[in-house]
Amino acid sequence: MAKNTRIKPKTAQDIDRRIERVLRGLGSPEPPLRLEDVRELLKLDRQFYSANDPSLLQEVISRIRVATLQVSARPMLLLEAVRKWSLQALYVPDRKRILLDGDLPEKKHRWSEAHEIGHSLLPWHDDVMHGDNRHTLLPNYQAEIEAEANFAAGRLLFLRDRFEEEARALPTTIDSVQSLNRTFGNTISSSLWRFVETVGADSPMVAMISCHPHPIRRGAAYNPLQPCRHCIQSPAFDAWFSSVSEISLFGAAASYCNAKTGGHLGSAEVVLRDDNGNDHAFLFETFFIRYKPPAQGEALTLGVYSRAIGTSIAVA
Amino acid sequence: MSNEYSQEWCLNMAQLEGDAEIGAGLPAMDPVFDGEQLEQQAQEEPQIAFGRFVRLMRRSRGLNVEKLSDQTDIDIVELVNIEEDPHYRPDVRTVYQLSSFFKLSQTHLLQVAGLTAPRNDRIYEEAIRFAARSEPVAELTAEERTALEAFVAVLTEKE
Repeated sequence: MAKNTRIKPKTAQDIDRRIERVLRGLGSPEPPLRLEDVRELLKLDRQFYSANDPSLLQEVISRIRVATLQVSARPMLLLEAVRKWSLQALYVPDRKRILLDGDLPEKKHRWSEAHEIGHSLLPWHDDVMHGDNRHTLLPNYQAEIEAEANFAAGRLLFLRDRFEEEARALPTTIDSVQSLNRTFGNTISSSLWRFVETVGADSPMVAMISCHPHPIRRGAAYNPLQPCRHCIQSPAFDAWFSSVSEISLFGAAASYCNAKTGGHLGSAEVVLRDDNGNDHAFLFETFFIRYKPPAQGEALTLGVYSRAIGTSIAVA
Repeated sequence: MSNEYSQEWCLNMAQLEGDAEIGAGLPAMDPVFDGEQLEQQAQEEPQIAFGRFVRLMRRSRGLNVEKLSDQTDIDIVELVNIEEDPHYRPDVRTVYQLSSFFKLSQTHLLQVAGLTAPRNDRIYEEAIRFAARSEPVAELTAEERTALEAFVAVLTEKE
């Protein structure tokens, strides 16, 4: 299961202070945050690159000194490299320019852009962003700075604690996540992620973003060993239920979901065993979102802690 | 104490050995690993230098760990780990905070801290020489100070 790289408290506080200054500079805006206002405040430039026009990307990469003669002679090679690195966006510190992959769906630009704004706000990222021919950040530290940019993006797009305050005032249901998503204007997956991480800080909560759980709707991309695109565990869930696998969680959702192609697929009480062998009841519900073709729809599942059931004793 | 071996025992042993090359035991380690070991050492040395460097820089400014923690906004536990544990790897931000405070190149300090792959041989060599020459003692000796200054000179060089 994908888990976030841990950010140390001092670093998190430093990032949050920088986000606070930005939001204060914008006059503590109401959601949804307008990223064009953030760009204007920070004097950031935004451009798009595309597979149909790799010249811009080529120019940028040559400026950040990773291009070789061989690469500059083959423009498409750069784009292929970007694709292989799964780069959806780039930040070029010396030009304060954000580059976004214009071929991605527009809704996904928002997170990518906020992520790159995050890089731009953290001065210790400047020297290590793209490296040069003489030094390269080791992979786990690369992951660390990407996690920091994601953290900054989350604090920015969800207006620091504003999302959490509103989320805690609502019932813990998928309807609430969708309502918050409309208010804050982000993708449903990032809203669900945020919801679980904040509201589920003290109480175990788990969420999945997956294909349709019903066996006849799973589609060709379904992988039984890795059925979820994301499996999001709240800090409390992670601490108590570390041995529960995403396969068993997906199996639990499959047991109650109907085969409808949109909307609520069902809900049920699901019993999960904690790391000490005690059983606990969760209320699970699943909702299926349809996307415009050719994109596939996605199922959102939310599991909220309900009550302790009792101790199970293994008998040999 | 003396050991006596019969002729029969010696012949049996020779038969068991067959055509195998005679030696005083098998090599202790697969030679394939030699290269990797050297690489690991190369990555560890600058980290030893980093901890000692931070300690000497701190002491040269008359600061205790707590004060350095306050002035750099770095967790005190992280600073202690940096100075005491050569295997500890700090955050990128921590290295940035230290490089800003000591007015050094972040790029070079990241390399000394072992967060980047070292490609600048001179920095690497200086780091090792610094580590070899410096020992944590109560006060900086003249030699230590010279070592520290030489190292700072390399770190503050313009790229």
